[in-house]
Amino acid sequence: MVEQRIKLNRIDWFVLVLCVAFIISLYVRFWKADESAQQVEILVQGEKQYILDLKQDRKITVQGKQGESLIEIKDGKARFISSSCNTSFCVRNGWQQHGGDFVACLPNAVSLHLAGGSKLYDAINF
Amino acid sequence: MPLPGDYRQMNKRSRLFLVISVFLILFFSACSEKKEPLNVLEEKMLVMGTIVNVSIAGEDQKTFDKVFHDLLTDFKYMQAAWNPWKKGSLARINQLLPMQASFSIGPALKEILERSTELEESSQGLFNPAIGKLVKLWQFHEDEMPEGPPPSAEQIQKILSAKPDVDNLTLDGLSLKSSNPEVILDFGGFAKGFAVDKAIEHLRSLGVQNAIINAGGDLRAIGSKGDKPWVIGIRNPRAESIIASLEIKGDESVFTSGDYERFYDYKGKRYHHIIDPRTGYPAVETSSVTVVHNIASVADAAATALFVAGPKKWEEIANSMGITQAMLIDKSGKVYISSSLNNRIKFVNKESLDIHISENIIGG
Repeated sequence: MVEQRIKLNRIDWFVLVLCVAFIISLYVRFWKADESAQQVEILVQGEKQYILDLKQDRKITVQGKQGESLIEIKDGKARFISSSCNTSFCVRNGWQQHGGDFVACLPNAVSLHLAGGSKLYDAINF
Repeated sequence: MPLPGDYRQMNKRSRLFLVISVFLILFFSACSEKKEPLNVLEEKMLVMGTIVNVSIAGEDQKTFDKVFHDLLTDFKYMQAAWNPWKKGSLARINQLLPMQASFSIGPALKEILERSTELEESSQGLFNPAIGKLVKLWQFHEDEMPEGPPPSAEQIQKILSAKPDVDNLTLDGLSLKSSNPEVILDFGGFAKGFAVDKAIEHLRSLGVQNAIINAGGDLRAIGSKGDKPWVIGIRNPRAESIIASLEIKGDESVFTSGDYERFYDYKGKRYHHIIDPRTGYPAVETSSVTVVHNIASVADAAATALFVAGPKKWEEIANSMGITQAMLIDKSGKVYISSSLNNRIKFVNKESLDIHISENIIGG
């Protein structure tokens, strides 16, 4: 078979560039990186008491309804180390790191809510 | 119409015309199908012994703040009104019921009483709002978690033998009378759903079309995020991870009853808050039940009833309650799911699960 070389003229190039630009614009519009959360909000008795940067490692003691809750922030994650409650459900929940994640110590009315970053789910059912 | 092979034979002007037409067609077809994403605003409140998360899409901050404030007021009112023991309209009823004389109740409580009576009947008594005394005996009526010890068999038997049931109540207009001194109303397995329904009703009357009300993990979602449906993650009862996700279609409630929500360990044994009205003890065969239904209060009561029913009887109760989409996870971690829910749910790690698809649920 005779190889047929296709010569691209100016309009063909124009179309090609247009196609590439179109595809790039699709990426810009729809592609979002899967980011971890940026901040943790600490609520005490329903009131937002702290908004902390997850990039700054620290431990913080919060005074809740019954007593103290010790919270740790490390490597972009947050957790309860201990809390004034008999279930320690909050402590066993472990590290939270995605936007929208939350963990609460209901007896002590202290809860952590992670904000920022991309969310996998709009709500969690349990 | 020139074929692709003829493309090179066309002159420049027709080529350009062809290309631009194709782009215009693509562009407009994309426009008509692609809806714009709506801005989602979110805030939470600590009410009814749990965290209520409100998400609203497509409204400005000012509207959101007003709506949120209205909901908070409403939830606080419902929390006070429906507590079976602390000062409020239900506590007053519970004080008067054992006297077995007629007294009048408010229209709001008439509605909740009638709705829960219907659900008691359709659940064949597995959802029973008349066992407030049993719930109190187990100390699961307080916000605080009890520490035990569990009540004695005699105490349980004393209440159980009186067979407390909503049928013991006579409602005539707004006049209520009980014929059984052991009947105490506790809407625990249903009040949250009823409150969520009221909140959604309220949002709609304010013109809000897209929202999720998530009351401590039990939720009702309406509308969408504009371009995409709301996506719900369902938590695994035995691990702190997501077991499956579900895309909401228009208006649906997703409610789960689990043995991990309220419980205490006493002398190495776990006691949770879902009491089997037949035995007087926490139901033993189930870990969790998730129900999807458009009405939150129905989903709430059904999740409780199917939990009590257990893996052997859950299909029968789902059918009598008109539930088509449900999932039950038993104590060993085995997953039972109705086929209609199985068709749309996305399990995160399907290979690791022991899934049994139920074909016996009507419409399921």
